[in-house]
Amino acid sequence: MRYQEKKSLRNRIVLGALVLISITLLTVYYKENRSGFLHGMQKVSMSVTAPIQVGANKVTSPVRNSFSWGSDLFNAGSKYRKAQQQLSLLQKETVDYRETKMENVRLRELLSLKKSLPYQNMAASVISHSGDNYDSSIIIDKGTGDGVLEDMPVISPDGVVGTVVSSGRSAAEVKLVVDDKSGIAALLQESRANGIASGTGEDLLELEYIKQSTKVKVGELVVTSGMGGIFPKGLLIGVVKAAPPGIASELFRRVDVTPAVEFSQLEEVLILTGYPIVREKDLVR
Amino acid sequence: MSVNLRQRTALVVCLLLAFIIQTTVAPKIRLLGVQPDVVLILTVTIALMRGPLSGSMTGFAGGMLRDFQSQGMLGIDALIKSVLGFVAGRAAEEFGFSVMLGLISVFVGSMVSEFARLLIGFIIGISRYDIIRELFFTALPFAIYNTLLFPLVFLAIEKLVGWPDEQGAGMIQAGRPL
Repeated sequence: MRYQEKKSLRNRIVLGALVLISITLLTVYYKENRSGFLHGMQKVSMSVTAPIQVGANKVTSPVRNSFSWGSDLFNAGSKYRKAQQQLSLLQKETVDYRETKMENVRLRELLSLKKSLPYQNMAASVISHSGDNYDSSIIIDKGTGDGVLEDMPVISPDGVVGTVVSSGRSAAEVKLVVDDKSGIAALLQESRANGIASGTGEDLLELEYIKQSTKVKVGELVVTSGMGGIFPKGLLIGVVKAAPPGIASELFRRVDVTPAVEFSQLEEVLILTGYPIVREKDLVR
Repeated sequence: MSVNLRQRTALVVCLLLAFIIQTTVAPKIRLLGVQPDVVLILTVTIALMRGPLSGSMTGFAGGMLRDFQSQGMLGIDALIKSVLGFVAGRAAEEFGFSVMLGLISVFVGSMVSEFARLLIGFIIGISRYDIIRELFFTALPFAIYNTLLFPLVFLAIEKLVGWPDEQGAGMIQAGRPL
């Protein structure tokens, strides 16, 4: 019995000593800086054990390899599925990245135009294109709630887009200049001849009311004349595509104009909310 | 060489072997993101077979080796493992050795060891882990992994070191093990 008690006491004393040593080491280690004695000892022990570990690594490599092999085999299916998921994710990210990059370029152009305009304006995204073959229009994500009203001119960095024909609270419909019911007061930039750029329902405009005597060059720019009261002067409408000679007996002739804007690729536009529009009813009054 | 000396030498060799396995093989055999602690399993095994004195000394020596090698807080592993070795040895003295006691000791010891490590780290400000979360996602799989490896380590120790001549701690009350 006394032997057992003595043994138990000895065990407790040894444990107490070990705990004390550990706590002392822990405290000193915690208090000292990185160049302290215990930190130094740790570094020395690392240097001493490094060659042993290198040797042990070589000896134990078959064990590790067989475990890795088994583990890889066990996880092969799930790893394959994970890799496939990652690939899909990366593909999606790549598409997103390209999309963002292109959007960035477009928005920079839009911003540059926005800053250069003397009128208050608002950027909008195109949320849909007209769904039928008889109507050339787009829907934008800004409406009366944003201050977008009917007849407001809409442009893009490439040129004139059209006018707002109806405006809801958070979206509006824009009739494109190529719509066959559309017409804009236009000006041939070099010859300074005035006319009306009318839509044809296709990707083509017809510049009407050009005098027979006017010399028109293919490639000449057609801009807004500012006379219609809707668009300010000097915005690009398109480029003369063909200027066929008119019928001699008629006073005017028509000129084919390619629109400056590629409407099918339109994604962002600017609405000139601050331009003072002159409506027909105002003129009558 | 006397049996006692031979056993002690074998014990030191086993401790060094466990340390080498811990630093070379264990990191490569991770399961659920955790690696086993061979030194901890060895400490508990020795404690159960040879009593609290051998347990605490093995734990201290093994913990100290790991502390020096890991470049972490010096003394933290030695402290935890020496207490663990003592408690496991005392448990064997109280209840007698059995494989079930070994499994329970390794499991509880692993959980307590991880908790103590997190707690000490938290107290001295080197650990910013969420203790409850770590207990679930790290300590629990760690304890299960160690518990599964215990029979393997026990058989190796029984073969290499053997039971003490004067009947080990647990054997005093429980008679022949297994």
